[in-house]
Amino acid sequence: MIDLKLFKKYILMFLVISIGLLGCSQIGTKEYKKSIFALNTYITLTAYGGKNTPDILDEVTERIVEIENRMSTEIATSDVALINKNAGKVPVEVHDDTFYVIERALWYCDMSDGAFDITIYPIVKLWDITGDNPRVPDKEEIEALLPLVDYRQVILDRDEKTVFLSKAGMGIDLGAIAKGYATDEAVRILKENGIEHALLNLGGNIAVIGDKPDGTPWRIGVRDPREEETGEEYMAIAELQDTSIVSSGDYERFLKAEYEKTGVRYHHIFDPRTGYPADVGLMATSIVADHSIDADALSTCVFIMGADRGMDFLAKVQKGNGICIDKDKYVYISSKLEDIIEITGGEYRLSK
Amino acid sequence: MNTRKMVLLSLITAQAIVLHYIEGFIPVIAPGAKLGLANIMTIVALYIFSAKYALVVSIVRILLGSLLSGNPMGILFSLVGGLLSWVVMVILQRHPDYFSLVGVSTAGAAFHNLGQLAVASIIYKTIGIFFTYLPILMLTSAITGYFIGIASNYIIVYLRHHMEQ
Amino acid sequence: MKNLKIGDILIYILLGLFALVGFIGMKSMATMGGRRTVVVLLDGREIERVPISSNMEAREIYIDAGYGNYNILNITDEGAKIVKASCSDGLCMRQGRIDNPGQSIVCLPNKVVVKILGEEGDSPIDDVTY
Repeated sequence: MIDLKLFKKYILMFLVISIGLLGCSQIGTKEYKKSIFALNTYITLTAYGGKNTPDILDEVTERIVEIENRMSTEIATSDVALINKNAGKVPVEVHDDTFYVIERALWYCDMSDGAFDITIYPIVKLWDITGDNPRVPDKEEIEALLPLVDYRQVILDRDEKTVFLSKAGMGIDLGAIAKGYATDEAVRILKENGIEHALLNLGGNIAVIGDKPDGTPWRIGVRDPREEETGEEYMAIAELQDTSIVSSGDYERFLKAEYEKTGVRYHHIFDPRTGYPADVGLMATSIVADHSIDADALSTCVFIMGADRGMDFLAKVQKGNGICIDKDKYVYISSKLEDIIEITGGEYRLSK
Repeated sequence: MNTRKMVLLSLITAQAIVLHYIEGFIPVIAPGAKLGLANIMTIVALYIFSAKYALVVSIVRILLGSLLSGNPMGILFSLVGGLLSWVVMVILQRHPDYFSLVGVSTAGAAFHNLGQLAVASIIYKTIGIFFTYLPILMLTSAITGYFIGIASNYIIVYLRHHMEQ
Repeated sequence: MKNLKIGDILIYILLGLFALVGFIGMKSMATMGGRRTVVVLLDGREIERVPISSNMEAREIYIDAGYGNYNILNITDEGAKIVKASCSDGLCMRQGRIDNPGQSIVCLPNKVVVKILGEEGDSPIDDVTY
């Protein structure tokens, strides 16, 4: 026979359990943001978690700065700067981070048959598009440097963790992949600390953890590459969960004075074969991949290859899916993304 | 508490949980604008037994009902709404000269909604949803409260008749 | 029991009043239009904060980024825009005028961030990849 005391006990139990459940549930979580300048860009981290979330975000930004200190070409003590300085002289021992990223990068160089090439650095320096004295170099200057652009001349020693550039004057630039690696590391740290919902923006490289706290997917706009003409900030929306999206395009950094004079956009993504900014009819491409390092490298590969070859390449390496926007405002979308990407820009049409 | 009372209370609670569950299948015109069928049983417990037992029915119903319908996140919203609603109904019920069952039930429905809205406003840190939903929820409370009051009345009259036998 | 009592009527009147409060609240929130504030950050530190109101006078703010570097920010009731800057890439000027809460302008060389704070409306997106 049930008595009231037992009944009271049950109610008390339920109350305790439910309060316990609420304690661990999302009601105790808040939105925390942190922004820093690093990796040559502006980084904004948004995470949903408990009171210790700011500490976790600090840990993430420290890690990002650490990666920058190892992989920036502009920091004299970085692994990459030391590798470049010792080109043609001696192999340089590097951190595991740097070695891993260079290894991944060389895999992409190889897979893309040199469309993607981290030894592009001498050409990058020559144009200095993102630096203080950008200019259009003479054809002779460019051709003189092209023999130095060859990823097969990067010699790795897995046991000694050393990197050696075989010709003097060579240089590597991890700019097209280091941000992706940093993003993956940020995601890893957040997840290890129990963060279930987060949005990371490393200068346009986006990664999302989980879905939004309200249970819907994150909605990420794809920058309209001709924002100045159309007045629209984005031309498509991707609905994403637990993934990364990275874009490359001719719109972000280019020689503005030259563009206004001649109508040619000299932008910052170079074709290693020609030494000139890649010009294969694309304005932009965005890649969705589980790992941001893949998305980052693939977006550069595809942008240099163009829509047709780029889409075939994505199908071949099976590391991510993409969307390409060509100069006639035709849009190419990988079949796996068709259901999650919606074109919103009125001037853009889906190519078949 | 005698066995008869115990059994009756258990039955009322069980019915409240079932009504709570059934209500999950009825589409709503606005978020939170529910019929409040389960409130019938809280009101019955309030009039047949006492304020204390009405609270028991209400809380057990909210906890079990929310878990049953797979919506444990709704518990906090419902608990605050349920408690506020209970307080208001108990106060009004003590003044039968001024408030009929319909009044008690309508006030109960309205304050249940007010409590939920308040929690939502605090959690989502915006007063906007409070204002936006207030008119529609007050309108639905007025209508559902009226009919829930009448339905409760039938059950209470019936049960009282039976218990006197 | 079927007949409404005086208290019942009062309850219905009270609900009507609550509903009215809701309507008035909604109206006044709409006319407030979600107040917006322009915030200027220099290397992460807040250096300026300007509320935007519907008929405010246009303002120009000189942001001194040190070593002779600067950005000139124009703020009107239509938002904020960088009109002149010392940086080499000029990206901050190309980003145009921002007016919605959550939007920002970033000048990387000068480490300047201009953003708009306020109750974020129903933006269809959470962020943009570029």
